[in-house]
Amino acid sequence: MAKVTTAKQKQPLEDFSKVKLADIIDVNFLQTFQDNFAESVGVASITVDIEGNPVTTPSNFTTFCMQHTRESDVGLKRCMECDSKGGGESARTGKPAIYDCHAGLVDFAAPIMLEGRQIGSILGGQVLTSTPEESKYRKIAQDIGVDPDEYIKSLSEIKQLPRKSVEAAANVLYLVANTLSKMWFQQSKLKNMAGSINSSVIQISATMEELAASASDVSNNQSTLNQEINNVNVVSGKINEVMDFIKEIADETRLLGLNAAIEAARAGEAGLGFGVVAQEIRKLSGDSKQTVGKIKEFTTIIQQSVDKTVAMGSATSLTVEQQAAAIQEVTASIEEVTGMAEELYALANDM
Amino acid sequence: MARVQIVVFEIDGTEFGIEASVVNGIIRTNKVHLQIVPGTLGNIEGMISWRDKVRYVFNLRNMLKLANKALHDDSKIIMVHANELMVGCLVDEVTDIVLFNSEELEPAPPFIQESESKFITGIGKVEDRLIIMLDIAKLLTGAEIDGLALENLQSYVHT
Repeated sequence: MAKVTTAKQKQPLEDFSKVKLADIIDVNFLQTFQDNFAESVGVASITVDIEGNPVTTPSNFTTFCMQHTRESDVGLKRCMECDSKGGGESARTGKPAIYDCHAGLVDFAAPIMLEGRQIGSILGGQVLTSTPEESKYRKIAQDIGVDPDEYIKSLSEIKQLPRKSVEAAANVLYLVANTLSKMWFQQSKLKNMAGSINSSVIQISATMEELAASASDVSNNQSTLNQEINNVNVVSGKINEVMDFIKEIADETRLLGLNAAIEAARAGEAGLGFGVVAQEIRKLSGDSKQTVGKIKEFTTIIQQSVDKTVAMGSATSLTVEQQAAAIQEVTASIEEVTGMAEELYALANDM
Repeated sequence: MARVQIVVFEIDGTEFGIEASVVNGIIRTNKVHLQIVPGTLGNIEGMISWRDKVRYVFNLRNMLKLANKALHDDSKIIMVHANELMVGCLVDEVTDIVLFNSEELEPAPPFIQESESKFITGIGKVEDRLIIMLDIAKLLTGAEIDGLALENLQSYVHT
């Protein structure tokens, strides 16, 4: 019997609609990747779940956006409108969306999809694609109520990138996040399947053992049954012997009756009464003989039944033996499958 | 009206009757040792020891011109007293002992009485059964005609 491995599932595979981004993505890996990517390319980036809650900490976010624009009530409102617009577009198309924000920066939003359903987004950008006009930003600073000098200062820290580079960065993040999500999905499926196979196989093994045990029970019972039936055969043979003896007595009694009748006849009138007795004796012996015949018929029927039962019992024994052999073969195959299922499960857990 | 007791026996499915007064007893063949007598013809089945005496057993089949048949478990020997001689008659089975009024016994018609089967004395009827009544003394005389030295046998018997 294979060693039992209990499959523990983190969440049921059936319900992907409730799966959250944080459940499926290796956040540490994504964070490291996102940080390094943002640093090297010079874009800001953050990963959020479907409700917009951050899953990673922001990478390479600019002072311009975070401290100046978003800290102003009006600025934050405008930022959120832009986020919503970009996120909405990417969700609609299922592809990264590149858009200009109210403050003239270029942002991107890329959806993270699982089985055709969006489970989160990667947001980022906060770059310029051309040299900004200072006068325009001074106006924005006034509009949103920020110190224009500070605003211009932080603007100068914004990195300038060609629009194509922003698109490429968005695409890279999109591909990586979606590949991670897809991998998780397949791995999780695999894990579940391996777990199911494992537990099914364990159940099959247990059932097979029961089957084997019951086959051996059937075999034992059958041989006991055959013995008992043979006993019946022996006993009915003995009954027949006794019946032969009784028939012999009946024959002898009949003869006695006949001879008595003859003696009675020879005695003339005096023997008439005795003649009646003699006749009764003959009648009695006739009845006995008839009864013996009936009993013999019954014992013959019993013996025929016994013969049939023995034949069927032998057939059953043979079938049971074949079944037991088949069960052994199946058990051997199942042991192989069990081994494979265990390996598969370990492999899936190791992914 | 005279009443007569008849011992009824069967050979080859045909029932015959003889008067009980000539019958001395009935023996089951499987209870005695029926030993053949070399040199005798088919009418003599063999000899037995009965009540300490040697008795000869006739096979009535030959005399009644019925097909021969091997002995079986039900075969009986009826010991009869005929012609001053105690002999056995081998039959298939003794079926009955019945009491007839002499009127119930229909005498044999003249053509039988005048034939070589004159040992048939009549026909007895018990419901549907027809019983051929035999005169055993005449039957066994017939056997003598067939070349059996009954007189010789008699000398054995009387010793």
